[in-house]
Formats: sequence, structure tokens, C-alpha cells
Amino acid sequence: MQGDVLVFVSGGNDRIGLEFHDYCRKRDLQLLLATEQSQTQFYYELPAGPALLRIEQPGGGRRDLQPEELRGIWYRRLPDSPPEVDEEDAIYSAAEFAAAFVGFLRSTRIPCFGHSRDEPFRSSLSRRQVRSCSNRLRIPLLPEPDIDPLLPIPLRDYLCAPQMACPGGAPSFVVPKRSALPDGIYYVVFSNRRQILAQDGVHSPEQLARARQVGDRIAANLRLESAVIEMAVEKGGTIALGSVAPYVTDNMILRDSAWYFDAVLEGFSA
Amino acid sequence: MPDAKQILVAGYQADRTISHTTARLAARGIPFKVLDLAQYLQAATVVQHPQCALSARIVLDGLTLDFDLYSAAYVRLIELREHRLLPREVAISVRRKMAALEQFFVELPMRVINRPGGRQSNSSKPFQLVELHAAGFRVPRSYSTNMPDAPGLADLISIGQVVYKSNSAMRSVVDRAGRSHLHRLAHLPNCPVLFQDYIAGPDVRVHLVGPRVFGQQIRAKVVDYRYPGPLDRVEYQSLDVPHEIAVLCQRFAEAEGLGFMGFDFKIAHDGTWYCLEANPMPGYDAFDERSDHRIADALIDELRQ
Repeated sequence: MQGDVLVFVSGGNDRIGLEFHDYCRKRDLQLLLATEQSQTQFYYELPAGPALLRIEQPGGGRRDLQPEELRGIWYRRLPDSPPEVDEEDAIYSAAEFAAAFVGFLRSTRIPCFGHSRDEPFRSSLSRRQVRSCSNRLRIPLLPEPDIDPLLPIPLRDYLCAPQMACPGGAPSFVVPKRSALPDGIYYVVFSNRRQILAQDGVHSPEQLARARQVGDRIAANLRLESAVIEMAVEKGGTIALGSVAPYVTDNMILRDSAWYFDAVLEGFSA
Repeated sequence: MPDAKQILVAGYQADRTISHTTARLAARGIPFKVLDLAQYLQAATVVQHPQCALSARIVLDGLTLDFDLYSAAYVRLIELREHRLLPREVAISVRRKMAALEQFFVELPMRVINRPGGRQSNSSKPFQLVELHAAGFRVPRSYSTNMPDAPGLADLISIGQVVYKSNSAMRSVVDRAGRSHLHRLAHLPNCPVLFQDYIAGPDVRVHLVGPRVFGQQIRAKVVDYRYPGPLDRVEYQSLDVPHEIAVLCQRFAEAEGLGFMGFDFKIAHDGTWYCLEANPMPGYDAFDERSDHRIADALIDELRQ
């Protein structure tokens, strides 16, 4: 059984959280923002026992929720450390919170979005995985770009810097921005929705349709639920695979927030 | 020119597991090279990625490690506690270098044990407990919370039949929780804790190396045998791992994409094996010393296949 209450877990000062809150309010949807660890309390028993989620709202008020009262949880960022925890301990506190909350999501089976339920610690895709996918699906790979040799390659981002603190306390990296390819086709996966982004007038409708089909196969093969897949049309018209960023950045969401928010809600209803 | 069958060992030279492994390689006359993480973090200037047009290499303070010269790598990239406490700028640099090295070994086209980038289920003990249970292991009933007034928690602790430990992969000293801990529940919102039913009985460590398993039973009066008091005796004994447990370990390691794992068990008085966790980077040296180097030899054999 699925309830009505939505929860958005993310650190404070998050524009997406505020916009999503506004979006839900306009649609009479109940959304609770969980922005601090101490305001996001949970209890659960393993294997498969009772569970309880408590959200304390910043302005006061507390909701104790059974899993069946929840429509879904969007987990975007680790919520902020409690203010009374000093900086040194905050690192441990954050790691413990993330580890425990991931267990909560995994064990309660509450619909959730924002990280892979089965592989919550996957914060990047290696080229090995992308190459392997390319081999399996017989999709050619684009030539690799020049690489700063000290950079962790899968974390480079085409569209903006990833600032996600992912569950598990994996570090956030600041990596140089790389512009989108002018002739690139970008296939966005977000929950159950898909869309193609490309420069106007560069590709034919037929090329974009084929890119969409290729993107569908790649997303399914890599089991992506939030990602940007880079593609380009090679000489001869073949669609080739570039890189895969396994996240969608804040800026992308904010540029077209209704599409992304609808995708989250549709995913919970599916 | 080094022997083409050299084995690369990547980790902290000061780490006992690394020094134990290299000592065993030396004792068997197998050529190896150590990529010392401490030196790497201080002095690495270039990490040439395996997929670059040039061959994979790392330049360390003028010394070039050319990876075409190695046949396999034993990789133990542990994050030091101290790294988390470095000044922010230094910490970022360390993390980037560690991430670069991790990705390097993800891509390196040779046998790597264990290749980084697996499922990392050990990053969350409760997450892994769900996975272990789904894989067929018996796991102890566990309770994870940061809620001081969680239903039944105070009673559970008062009875004194639960232990407490970290939720994350961070090592914690495990101990029984009791009435004297009740006042500390108020701190739970600052840091969640994993409570687990206390299982009286011996501990067992099972090391899985490729298709082989090595069991060792541990008897101690303290709850956490890794931290005995000065007068506490800890007894270790080789143990044959039951076939069904060995099969479960094999399947789990396969699902995790790992060839070398350390599984922790408790054997209850009724003979039931309860799996506590599965370690993807086992510190196996002390167990190996008590088992005639069978674990290290199996690891080396796997690397040389």
C-alpha cells in the first residue's frame, strides 16, 4: 500500500528542494523537506521488521510516518550535519547517517528516487562499464577526449560540475567543466522519463529518433535511473556513444524543473 | 628489464596486510613491486590512464611505473582515518589522487584483486545485511536508528542482549549495550547506531580466495575479539567451513564482483551460522600467520593465474 506523503531529503540551501516544495504546494501534494540529519530520524529492524520515519519541520511540527504512509522519498543530497556536532565529528556523523539511511531505504522498500536502491554506492560509471556496454550492444564509441591525467575520468561532467554528496560519504569532486559537444546528442534519463537534448538544426529528425532508440538500449543495459548519455552521429550516420554521467546536475533540473519534478512523481506512481 | 610476471602491490607499505603479502611474495621468490600509497599521495605527478594512447603509467617523483611490465595487481586502497582530518584543500587533493588511482585500477587491463568499483555493499552494514539475507545467509536481527525514543529501543537495551556498532564501513569497537548506556540515547540524533542481537558463541572468519575458503574459529570472553583486554585470552583454531556456507560465500563474492573477501560469522549454541558482514578488503595477515600462509599462497596463486 502506498500513501500520500512525499519526502525530499537534501542538504539545506538547496534551490531544487525549495522549488520542489513550491511545486508540490501548488498541487496540494504533501511534501516534507528533510534538510538536517537530526530532523530526519528513522528506526528500522532487519531483516524486514517494523520501521518508522520521523521528519521534524524547520518551523516546528513533527510527523511520524509508517512506510505505508509514504508515496516516495527523493534522496538528492545528504542532509546537513546537526549543528551541535563539531566539524571533525561531522564527517563521521555524515557517513553513519548515509550508511544507515541507505539501509532504511533498502529494507523498507519505500519507493525512492535519487540513487540506485540496489547499488546505492555507485557514484560514477567507469569507462570499463561503458566500453563493456558498447561491446554488448554493438554501439561504437566516440574517440576519447584529451584528459587531465590526474583527474578521475568518470567523474568529469559535460554540463556542469557535480556537487552531489552521494550516499556513503563519497567525496564531492570539483572537476573542470567541459562544454557539451556542438554536434552532441544528449539523452537524459530521469526516473521513468527520457528526453533528447541537442542543438537546434544540427540533426535530422531521423537521427534524433535513432539516437533516442540507442539511448533507450544503453539506459536499460546500464540500469540507469538518473543519467546523461552523450552520443554523436558519425560519418555514415552511425550513432556513437560518448560518455555517461550517472547523475543529472542541479542546473539541468532548474532549467526545466517541471519536467524533472513530474518525472519524480510519475516514478513514484509507477 | 623486470620480469614480465612481476606482481604489483598497491597499498600503504606501513599497512601490515601489505607488508605481510610482500613478505610472502619474497619468500616464494616471486618478483613484485610496491606502489606505496603514502609516496603516491605525496609525489605522484602523472597518472597516465590505461585507456590513453600512451601506455598506462604513474610518475612518482621522477620514477616511472610502467604498467606494461606487470602481470597482475593486488590492490588495497584503504582510506586512512587521518585523511578525513586534513585541511580542506589538502583533503581534496588527496581524495582526487585516490579517486584517480582507484579509477586507474578499475581500467587496468590485467588481473586485479580486488578491482575497485564493485557494488561496495560493505559501505553500509544494514544495506549489506539485507543483501546477505537475500543471498541466503542467516543474519542476526538488527536495529538501526538515530531516534532516541524509537519504539522498544530502551527496553531492548535494558535487557542487555544487543551489541552496538557503526552503520558504515568505519571500524568500531563492538560491545554489549546495557542500562548504563540508556542516557546516551539522547545523542542518537547526532549519529545513528546499529544495534544487533547478541549471539553467544564463537566467532568465525572465513576468507574466500577465488574458489577456495579458509575458516578460522575464534573463542574469546570479550564481545569484540579484535580488542581483548590485557588479561583476556583469545583462542584461534582452524575450522572446516560447511559446504553450504562456502557456497553462499562464493555466490555472494561473485555478485559483488570480488575474488577475495573476508566473511565474519557467529555460531550460535544451536549450531546456526549467523553472518555479520562481508569485508571486501580483508586484513588477513594475522589469520594467515596462524594458517601456514595458506591464504596468502592462495591469493598469490590467484594473482599468477
